[in-house]
Amino acid sequence: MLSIKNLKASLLDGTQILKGINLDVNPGEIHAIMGINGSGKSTLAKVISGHPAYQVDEGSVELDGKNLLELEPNERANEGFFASTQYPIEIPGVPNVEFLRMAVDSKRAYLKEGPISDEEFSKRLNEAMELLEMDDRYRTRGLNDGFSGGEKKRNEILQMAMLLPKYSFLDETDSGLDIDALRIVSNGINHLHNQNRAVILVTHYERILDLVKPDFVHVLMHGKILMSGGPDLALKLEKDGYDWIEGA
Amino acid sequence: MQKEALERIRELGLPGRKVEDWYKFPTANLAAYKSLEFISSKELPVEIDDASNVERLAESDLQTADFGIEKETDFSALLPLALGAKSFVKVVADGASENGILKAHDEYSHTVFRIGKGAKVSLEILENKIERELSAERIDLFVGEDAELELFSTEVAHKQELKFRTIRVHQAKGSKVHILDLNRSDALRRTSVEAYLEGEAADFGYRALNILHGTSAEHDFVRVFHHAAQCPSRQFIRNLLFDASAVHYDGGVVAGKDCTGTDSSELINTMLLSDDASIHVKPTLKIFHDDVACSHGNTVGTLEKEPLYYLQSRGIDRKHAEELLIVAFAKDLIAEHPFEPGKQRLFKVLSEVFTK
Repeated sequence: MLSIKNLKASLLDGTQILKGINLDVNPGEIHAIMGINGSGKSTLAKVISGHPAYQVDEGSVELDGKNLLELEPNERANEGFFASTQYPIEIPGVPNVEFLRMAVDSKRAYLKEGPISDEEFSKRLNEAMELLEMDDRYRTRGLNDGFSGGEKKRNEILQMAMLLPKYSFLDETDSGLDIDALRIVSNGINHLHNQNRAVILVTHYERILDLVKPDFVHVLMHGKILMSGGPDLALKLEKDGYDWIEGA
Repeated sequence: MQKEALERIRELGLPGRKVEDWYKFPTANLAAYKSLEFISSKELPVEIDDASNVERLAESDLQTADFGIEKETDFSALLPLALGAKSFVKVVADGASENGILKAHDEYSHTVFRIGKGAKVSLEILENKIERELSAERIDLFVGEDAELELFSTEVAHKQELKFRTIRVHQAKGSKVHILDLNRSDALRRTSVEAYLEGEAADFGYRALNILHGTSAEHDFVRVFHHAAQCPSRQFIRNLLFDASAVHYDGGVVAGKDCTGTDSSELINTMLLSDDASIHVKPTLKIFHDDVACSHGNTVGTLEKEPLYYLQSRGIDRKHAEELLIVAFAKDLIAEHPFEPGKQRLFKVLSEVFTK
């Protein structure tokens, strides 16, 4: 289980963004987090994954009983936490495939497994690229280098497919996607989700939730989860907005 | 030639920091080198052996070359000649194609290449032997019309105190010369490159990747003289500086009066990987014509936190994430080199450096 207890975190200048997040995610569940801009949704993913721009003030994040906040970012990833960022960074000169191979082998080394074989890596990569309808250009290009917004999001799901994390925190993966790309990415997420792998989906829009069906929907505002509910909550937010939440 | 060089170098004396081209170089230390004591004495640095000197070279070729010794102002260009370097002359016939290595058998060396019209030559400069406290090499290149030449080196890390490398290039119409250097020397090195673009559409490139550790230092002095129309030139330097290493880059372009369509650029990117590493850049543009494009740029930074975090967030540990970013930074420069042999060689060496 991914268990977030009373998580409070700030920017390095002391501005507190997260003001006491509590959230439990069990294997196999799909959670959606919605909320207005600036409510702390992206910060939550970054804090859990160990982004250096934030400091944790209080609270804990445990993944299957292990306190992630005591680990380096790579160790958190290798424990099974994957944070897809809203704006994936471009790193020219690092070929996409080379990067994926290194990431896969890093996880295997962490789990005391040997490096992946050429055959297995190629097979998994081919399958994942086929699932996400990605062509061969993605292999040799630099990591996200010159990718469109939609291509970057697809590449994030490709990484998820290669790393098979237990808990995937997908931050606005649907933003900037056209209808076809949204379908492809959603299909990829559904394919990768199973009873052992959970997904936390941050979104502003209900439309992706028509394709990736959440078990729970949470509203994050002012650094706290103010309301939780089922899929109907997303429909109500789409219809009525967020103003009514604070008075509820 | 040694006598001429001796006279000229004694006339100039050891370079000092008041000489603009040397003001960042630790010139005060030069007087301590025994090999350089001859400059202030009347003794010869080594015995002049004119007979053996002539024996090794194609005398007629050498005599027709104008090395401009009597007007030379660069100490490092005169030094190998004054120290008695034997001149090796190689002539590549018109239209010939050659891949070769250049390895001098003495720390003091002088190599002359005359490359015929339309010839294609790829040369790797290998290390000279390193028994003496300093080395001084000079390479003169005379490149014929429409000829192509790549010159590349992957200087290995080893201990030698002081190195001077001088490259002089004369290019005819339509010729293409691109130099690619991977420098991992532990020495104090001065590289002096002068390119004279004498024929229309002559194309020159100098790309250097300095990966320096310890207290090693690279002093580059590069001048590109555009003397004809429609000539492109490119200076592209990337520095990865660890520990207390340093690079001083003095790069200049002179666009002459009759060089319409000159397209020159200088770009120096540096990653300082330690608080004690340092970079000093001095770009110079002298433009005597209106219809030219000359640019220069310089960036200095360190490993950025955001890409490091991104790589780490995918499970890659910090050390390997840093290496990935460093290699990516270095690869960009190599990828731009327009000839395959040098490019592949440097890619190979680079991957070996970072998989140790």
